[in-house]
Amino acid sequence: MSQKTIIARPVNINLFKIRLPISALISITHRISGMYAFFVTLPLSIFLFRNTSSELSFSNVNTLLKNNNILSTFVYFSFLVFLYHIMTGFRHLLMDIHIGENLKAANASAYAVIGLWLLASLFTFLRFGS
Amino acid sequence: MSGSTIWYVQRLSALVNLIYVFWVGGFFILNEITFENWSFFSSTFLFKASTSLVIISIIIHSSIGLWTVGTDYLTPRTLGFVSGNFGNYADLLRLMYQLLFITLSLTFTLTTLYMIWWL
Repeated sequence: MSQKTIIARPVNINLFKIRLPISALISITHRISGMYAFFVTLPLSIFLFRNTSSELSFSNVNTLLKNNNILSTFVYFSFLVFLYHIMTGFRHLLMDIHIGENLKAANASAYAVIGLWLLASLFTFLRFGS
Repeated sequence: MSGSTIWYVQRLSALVNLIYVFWVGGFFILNEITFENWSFFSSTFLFKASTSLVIISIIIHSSIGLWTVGTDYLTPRTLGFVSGNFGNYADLLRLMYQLLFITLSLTFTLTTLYMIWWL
């Protein structure tokens, strides 16, 4: 037990030098997307709900969201981030009841979630992006 | 509340929110989005009652999540990684962060309930 072994411990942790395993990446992005869902998607949804209660405001919102502009991009992006939170959260819920907990299954479901979400994003882009 | 109760409440509220999102999301996917359809759907008692319950479920779920994130990262230890001096303000920053999301939670809940039942 020398002083050397203690000094050799990595005390200066550089987050940019750590390569995260895919399930850790899912976990941290689940948190970030959750923060975004609370601070942006939720008030945005309330705002949209408020602005679709009359026929005129509904058609204004409808026209805005059907066209490709900075506001509709923001709205679709916000709901896609929320969808990401739901999909990664669903994966975590399955793991909580001990489904797909081993390394192989966890890696597979992590890639599946990212793949499905990218497909959903692509679909949204093709449907509303032009 | 014990840690395991909080753990279960967060998972249970997640399930409630998930079912609601599937239901409302399904409406938008399966129906043509017109004012008549949306107006009818959002004026039913089922929509009003479930949205009122779910906004509370969302706030419970997000409060636990945001609280967890705050106590994980807004600590003298974690902020100390950024700068030792920064770490000294961790407790104050976490308190301000908690006040922020509690205030927003109350605002979101009251706004939603007001819009649903009185507007």
